[in-house]
Amino acid sequence: MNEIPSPSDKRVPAAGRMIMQPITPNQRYSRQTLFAPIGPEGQRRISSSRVLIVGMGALGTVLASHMVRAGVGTLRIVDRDYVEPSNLQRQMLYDEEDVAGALPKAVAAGRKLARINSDVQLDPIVSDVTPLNAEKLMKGIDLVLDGTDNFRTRLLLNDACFKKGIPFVYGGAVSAQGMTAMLVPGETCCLRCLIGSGDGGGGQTCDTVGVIAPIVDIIASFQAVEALKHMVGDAGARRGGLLSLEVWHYHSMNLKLPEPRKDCPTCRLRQYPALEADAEDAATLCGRETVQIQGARPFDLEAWERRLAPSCTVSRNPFLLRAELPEGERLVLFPDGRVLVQGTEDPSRARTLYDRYVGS
Amino acid sequence: MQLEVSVPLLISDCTRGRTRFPLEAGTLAEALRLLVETYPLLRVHLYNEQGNVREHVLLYYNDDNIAWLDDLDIPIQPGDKLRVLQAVSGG
Repeated sequence: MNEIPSPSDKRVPAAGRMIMQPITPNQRYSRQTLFAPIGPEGQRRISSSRVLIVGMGALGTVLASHMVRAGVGTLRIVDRDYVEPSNLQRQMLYDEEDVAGALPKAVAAGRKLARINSDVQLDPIVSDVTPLNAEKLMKGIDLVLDGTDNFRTRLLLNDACFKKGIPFVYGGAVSAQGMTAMLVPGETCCLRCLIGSGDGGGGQTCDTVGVIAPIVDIIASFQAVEALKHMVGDAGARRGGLLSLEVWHYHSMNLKLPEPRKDCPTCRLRQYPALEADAEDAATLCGRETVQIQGARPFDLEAWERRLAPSCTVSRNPFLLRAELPEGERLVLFPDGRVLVQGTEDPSRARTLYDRYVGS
Repeated sequence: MQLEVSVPLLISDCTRGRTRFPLEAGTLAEALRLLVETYPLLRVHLYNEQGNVREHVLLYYNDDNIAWLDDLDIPIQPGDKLRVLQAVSGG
């Protein structure tokens, strides 16, 4: 029987810091540049690319890992949420310390990614993506990767990408199934041509029907492959089409993307309706009893801790404040003025609690 | 003529647990009608109250989304496939 050495076993080298020489690009990317379609020139192109990932959940963390390990020049990551226990099953950049610290996902992911490749310029942003900031978040960006968990945000990204001429790599996963397509302004249809206004996605989210981690990794990896092809300029190798996978019983199909719809308000009529939507709408998040309300003013978390402490159980870190309400719900306040009302899916109930504790 | 139908696992409770099954029909239009007549629970997942295909549902006849076809009176050929897909929003 093999004996597993304990940490105190003398045969195990003592832990200690080794003096590390800086890792050179040749060392780091040698296996990738040996791959002929990338090569040294492709690596240079990857290293000068600027990529935006919106959503740092299951898809987003896999995408970010691939992008950072591949050595993109700049990676901007945007997420509005913080790490929770149910994320650990599949959101591969997070650990129990991130949960205990209630770290925003963009912050926790940014820290992990910086340890993986310090050459990448990382730009983690804790924020919701709204009609007011979507285009600004894409400033200087060459490629947008979809790590979101709802059609509303996807259509917003779709419209902003098609307005600005930036390729958008859609990905989605739930249960054991997933889909992905690379949508290129001027070359392919857009996401709105495929799904219209989204129609709520049939109410099937990771929080209502579950999800297994491998399907997320697979879909995000397919997205990452198309991203690499785009960055190195190998448009001829593009997979094309809408890939649909179900990995439990195993079905796979790569279906033709249609021509843009004649009446598509995004890629034909250039009206970009998602960018015109009301940013003040309350948004129900991914079916997990959370409603977000975007307030007009930023929060000074320290001041709000003092204000809420007499009536609620309050905890705070530099990025957010949590208040457990006597009614049973929880408020999460972010410095940018957002509030998550957790424990309800009813926007009017959320608004009532918001008005009661935060004020309108 | 027989065509193969596939549906997502998530709505296979409407098709007696099957995600892939044969259907006998003469034309694509007939196949679409028979699909919801044979499996009536499927109707609400595929069509809205007005009888239009729901926006997040994609019905593919072989490589073509039926929304892009001018005419559904297409004779079924051996090996034809009808695929029911739902756009996936999770992530």
